[in-house]
Amino acid sequence: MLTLETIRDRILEAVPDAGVEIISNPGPSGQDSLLVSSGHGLAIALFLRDDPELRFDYCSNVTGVDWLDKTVKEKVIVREDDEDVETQVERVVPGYLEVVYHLYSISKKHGPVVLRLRTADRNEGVELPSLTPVWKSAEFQEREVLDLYGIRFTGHPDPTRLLMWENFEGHPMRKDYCAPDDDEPGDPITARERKEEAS
Amino acid sequence: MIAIPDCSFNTTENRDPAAELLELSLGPQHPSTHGVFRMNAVLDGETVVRLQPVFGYLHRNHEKIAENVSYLASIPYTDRLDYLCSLTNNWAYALSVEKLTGLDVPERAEYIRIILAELTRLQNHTAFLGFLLGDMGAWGTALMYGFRQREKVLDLFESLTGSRMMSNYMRFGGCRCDFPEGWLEQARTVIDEYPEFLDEMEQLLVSNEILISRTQGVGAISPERAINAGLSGPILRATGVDYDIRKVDRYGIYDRFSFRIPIGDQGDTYDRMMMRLLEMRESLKILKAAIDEIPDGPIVNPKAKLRNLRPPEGEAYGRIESPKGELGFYLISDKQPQPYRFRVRPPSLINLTLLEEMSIGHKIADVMVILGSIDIVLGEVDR
Amino acid sequence: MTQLYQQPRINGSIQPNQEPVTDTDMSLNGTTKYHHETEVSGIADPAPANRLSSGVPDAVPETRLSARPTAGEYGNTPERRPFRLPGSGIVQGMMVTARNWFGSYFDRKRLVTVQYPEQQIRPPENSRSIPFLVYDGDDPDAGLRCVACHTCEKECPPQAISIVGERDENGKPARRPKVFDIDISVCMGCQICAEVCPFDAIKMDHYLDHSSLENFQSLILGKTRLSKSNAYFHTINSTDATAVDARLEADRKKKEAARQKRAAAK
Ligand code: SF4
Ligand code: SF4
Repeated sequence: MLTLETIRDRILEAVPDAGVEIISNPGPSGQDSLLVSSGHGLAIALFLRDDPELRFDYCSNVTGVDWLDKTVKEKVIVREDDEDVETQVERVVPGYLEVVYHLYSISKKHGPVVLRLRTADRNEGVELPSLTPVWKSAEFQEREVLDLYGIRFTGHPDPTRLLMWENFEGHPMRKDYCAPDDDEPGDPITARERKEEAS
Repeated sequence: MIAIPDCSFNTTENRDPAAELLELSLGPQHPSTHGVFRMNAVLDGETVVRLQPVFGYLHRNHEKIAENVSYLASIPYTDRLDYLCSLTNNWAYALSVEKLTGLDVPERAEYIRIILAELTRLQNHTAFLGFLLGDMGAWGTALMYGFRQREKVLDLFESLTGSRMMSNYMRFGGCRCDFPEGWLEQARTVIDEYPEFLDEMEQLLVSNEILISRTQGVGAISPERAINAGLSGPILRATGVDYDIRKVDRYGIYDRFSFRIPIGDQGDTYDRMMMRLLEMRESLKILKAAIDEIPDGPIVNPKAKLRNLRPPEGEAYGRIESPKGELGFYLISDKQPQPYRFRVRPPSLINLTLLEEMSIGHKIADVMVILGSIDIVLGEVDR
Repeated sequence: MTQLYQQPRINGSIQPNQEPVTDTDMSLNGTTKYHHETEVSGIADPAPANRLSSGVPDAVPETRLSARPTAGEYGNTPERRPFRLPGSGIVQGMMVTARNWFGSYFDRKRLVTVQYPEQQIRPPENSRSIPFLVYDGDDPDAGLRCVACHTCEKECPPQAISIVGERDENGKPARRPKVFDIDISVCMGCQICAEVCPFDAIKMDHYLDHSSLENFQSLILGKTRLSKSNAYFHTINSTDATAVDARLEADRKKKEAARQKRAAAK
């Protein structure tokens, strides 16, 4: 029985100075995950696949998650007129995009190990290493993540949109995506719209 | 013995350098009504040298819709993923939500789920055989025989769930309603008649010389490639990999039933077809045992909430062995009535990863057969 | 010889600044065995949370079931390329089609179609198309069971329902819908509205012919077109209708008893 801690230690042994962190899952499913630094993503993935004891040879599911910027309210103590005053300040925790890989081992019949990679932010630094060279099953799914979340995968053999058309703008699965209003003037209205109009 | 043509690959080495390559766009309607699927093929004569699937014609962003409606309201949408197997889709989703919330399922409901899932497998594979033969040009006969039999299973579905295909039946922590009167007897008759149909289908198909020469040695893949490319379900097992989630994860109560997993040895189209035929026989075993053993009792966990479900914070990935392969749902909850992240792991899409590798070197007519043997449903590929 | 196209595209396109990816270990090198050849039986020990579920439990080995079994074990599945007369497989298939063709003249099992629309098969009771509103008695307006509680409107997944509640002259809700529209071009017949309605006021219909000449407005069914009598509900699904009647009757009796008790207490 392998625990996530041993896997983390083995990764750190094999890939020194890789950032690996266990993200605990508070829910009843108890599927914790490993947050991996994007710089070492490929090396860690290779290790997980090829290590004779782990042998995560089957990458089942690849998906993206969008975490928006969060504003947290914090109490800080500010020194004012020689007095400690407690004030509330709002701090913006920058959001990020995340790719989640669910790994299983077919030869060892164990799993899942959940691997997460995070981008630096949501606008410019959305580059992550592609794990398609390690698991070919990630090929279409990473293209889908690129399409719907706008994460750029370096090293992907065919980094094009999967589901939307080529000239489509925006990434529909992002939480702040607004669908264009493509109702044409004079379009008949639905029951719901009629009600909204009446009220 | 009849001579089986050797499907040797036609590569650049023995290709006439002066010959021009032909680019051909197949679809989005044609590939024998599998749906709106398109392939861009590059042909050298009739031989495929490159092939690229193009997706998205049936894309409706199911995941985004599901992230905007309640947990309950997603169930009817999952029916429409793989519209041939709505009941297994329901189950996979219910299983994931049960993992997310930590709900148990009463025993009778587990039995009902297994009965319905195996019936779904039966009717999916039955339809698959018909479609595959249609792809080979035997348009009609096998499909109609398959549909005639499948209809009996669909009648069972309709009298239980209200709909032949869009069942909307499983609920978190159980099932929606119990069997109507006489349902189990009717199901037993259908199951008892099934082997006869399978015998007939086998007599019709598996020894047919044309079928053998069109399928054996066509589109073979190695187990290593299949695993690396994330194939799942019958087409993974056709390559000789013994991996069935019913056995590995033992979700539901599959560990109480004795059944075997068919395994191929060449990974070609013929193996993929036989895999389905053999799986149906094993499903019948499970069904017989389940119908005999089903206990009385409640069909839904009294703690389960139908409306206003707000799972505790966390995430869960649940997967089942659907007739097409590994169907998984990945859910993240942030204690809201809507899931924060709702992801479907579509077996049909990922099974297409190796379509190019399978097809290269074969004739364009074989590509249809290879595509048919993967058994995709576009509602799930494009979501 | 086949390498050029058989090679996975990924190997050719790794960026030079990345670590090379070896595919050697992906082969079956003797240590990895993919056929575990087992039959799992017994009760599962649920994998403890936070652990990787370890592989296969104590297993009873059983021979692997191959796609190409020897003849006999599975009906008449042949071995790969058995010795036989060329064309015999086709002849065998022809026998099947012949049996079906002749059988379709007198065997009910092989003759399954009916002459639609002259002949119609009655759908099973649970069958469903789109919802309708049930009313008791003869007056569709007074007998309507719906109290405009908006539950179905909130739960309907594609939001096909739109309800405006009636108000009496004082502006208080009158527990009656003024407008009850279902856009049947949006409704997917999922029966969630019927499932969540606490008053058994909305049920699923069997009627399927909803075609109309116009695309939008005439597919929005209003209260009058949706209301159908309880007697009609009995004709399409008598099991459910009887159960609902009994339930409502019991509710009414309970309420009546409570009212009498209150009156007696006064
Ligand atoms: S049909 Fe039922 S749920 Fe819908 S508003 Fe009327 S009483 Fe409420
Ligand atoms: S059947 Fe489903 S889609 Fe149609 S009105 Fe009822 S809840 Fe809405």
